[in-house]
Amino acid sequence: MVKNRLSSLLVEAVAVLICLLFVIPFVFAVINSFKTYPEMMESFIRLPNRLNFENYVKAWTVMKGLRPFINSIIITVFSIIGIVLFSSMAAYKLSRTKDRKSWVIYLIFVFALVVPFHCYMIPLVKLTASLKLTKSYIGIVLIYWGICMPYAIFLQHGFVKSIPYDIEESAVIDGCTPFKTFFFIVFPLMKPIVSTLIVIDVIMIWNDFLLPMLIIFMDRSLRTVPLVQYNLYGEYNNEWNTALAAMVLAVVPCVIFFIFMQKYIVRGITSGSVKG
Amino acid sequence: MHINSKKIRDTISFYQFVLPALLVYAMFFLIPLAGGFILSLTDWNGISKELNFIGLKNYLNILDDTRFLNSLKTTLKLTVSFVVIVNVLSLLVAFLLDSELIKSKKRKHFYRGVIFVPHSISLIIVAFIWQFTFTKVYSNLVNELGLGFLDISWFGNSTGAIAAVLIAMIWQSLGYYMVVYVAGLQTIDPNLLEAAEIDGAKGLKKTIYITLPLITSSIIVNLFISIITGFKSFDIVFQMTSGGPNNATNVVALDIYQEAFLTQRYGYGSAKAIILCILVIVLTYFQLKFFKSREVEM
Repeated sequence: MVKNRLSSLLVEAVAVLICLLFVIPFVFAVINSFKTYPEMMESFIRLPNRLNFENYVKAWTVMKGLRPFINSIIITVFSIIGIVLFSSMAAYKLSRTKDRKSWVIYLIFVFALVVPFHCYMIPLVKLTASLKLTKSYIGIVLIYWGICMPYAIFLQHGFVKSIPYDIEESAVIDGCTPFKTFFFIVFPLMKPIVSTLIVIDVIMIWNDFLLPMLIIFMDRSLRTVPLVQYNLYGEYNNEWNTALAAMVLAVVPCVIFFIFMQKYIVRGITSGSVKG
Repeated sequence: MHINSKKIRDTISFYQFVLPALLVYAMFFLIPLAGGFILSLTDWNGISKELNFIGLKNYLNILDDTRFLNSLKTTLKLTVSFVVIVNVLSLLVAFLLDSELIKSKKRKHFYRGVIFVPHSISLIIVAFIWQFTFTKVYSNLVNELGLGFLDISWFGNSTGAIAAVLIAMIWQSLGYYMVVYVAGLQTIDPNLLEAAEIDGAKGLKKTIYITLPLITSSIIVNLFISIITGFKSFDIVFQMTSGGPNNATNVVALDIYQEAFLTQRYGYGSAKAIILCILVIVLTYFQLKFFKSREVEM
């Protein structure tokens, strides 16, 4: 009994220690974001004398306030809509149709999962430029539709197999068109996998750096949060207090999103990894 | 004929559902990928109106490109270290946080949450926060604690820089791999473990010979993803070290980026990118093959 209690305590102590270790970078970042420059130069690890919000005001102004967040939101939302819509349709049909063309097309999609972005980013950039799609949200949204399709289809393809076919059968017998059958009967049943897909893709698209860097970096008004962060860190290289304040501003929505979506995130990660 | 018209209707319906996805995918992935292949056979500089085909010359030049070959070595070093460390650590943490010794489920979820949080942040931010920690905080901390001899210049030498990148990568992704392992551990039928204990398997023996084989699918998935992540790593290196010091952390992805967008040698850069692509595909193939044969069937 006592041995168990001791082991429990020990195990939990280690867990807490690990969590503390993980949190340390954040702690120091936040501490320093509230310091004035002289305070910070004196010591990076002491607590500030008072909570100085100047850095946050400055960071907010430099980042042009809500603009990067709005850009990120617009791009993310429209990308997700397209991805979910087209991938669910395609995954459904590919999963239900069991002939050779379906299998071949599925493989063509899944093939992309092993191809690193760098292999096609150069022509992609040039293609987008020549199609004049770089000056607006449209270009990058379309690109996300294209390159996020494989994973989305992969994820949903297996899930559709777990949906019993009888419901669709009866719908077809009742005279439902394929589209009606899908959107009103099957799609609602795909909610679990679609919600996890949405959460995974939101995180990926919101935090994406290289693609937006190549496509929309030039247009300052279109820059997403990671791009603005990157630019800011470069500009405020030594003014760590300001840069860190900007960083905290960018991290807060991500953490909030994670806290609310934790269940879906975990489900999404484990859905492909556990057999049966 | 009744049957024929159904077949035709089915085919039309098939393409109605599949074509939108296929079209965007073809437009923004397949075509650029094909373009990548084609560009790798030219010496395009990104601007000129015409493509000058030079055959496999780019690929031959790669064999002499020391910076690229070094980047392959660096990427390999980074990937192997990353894969081993992150998988071992995340497995240990998974065992710890799934342990029945922690009674409160709520607390378990809280700990897992804390460890996972870095995974929801942009890699650029991750890199920056560690840049700050390594350059400023570490120095201060170590000196104020009187441990001045531990003061390292993280970014001044190659080992330090690689370690810094590794630490940032591990911090960011440990939670992810841990979640996969926890899920795997939770699918193990406790009766199996009990039966094993009755048969005499205890502690470490039980872990190695019983538990680990039962979570093979989780291990495979994590190895798979961590290897590919290691090979593709770019963002963190880009922000943290820009490949330095002295190309010590210049990974393949960064080399390709520099070749194409800084040196403006799009054709040559594409060839390097194709090499990376082939490497990853070959790696994936062998991984799948190797692990397919080791799966424990339930």
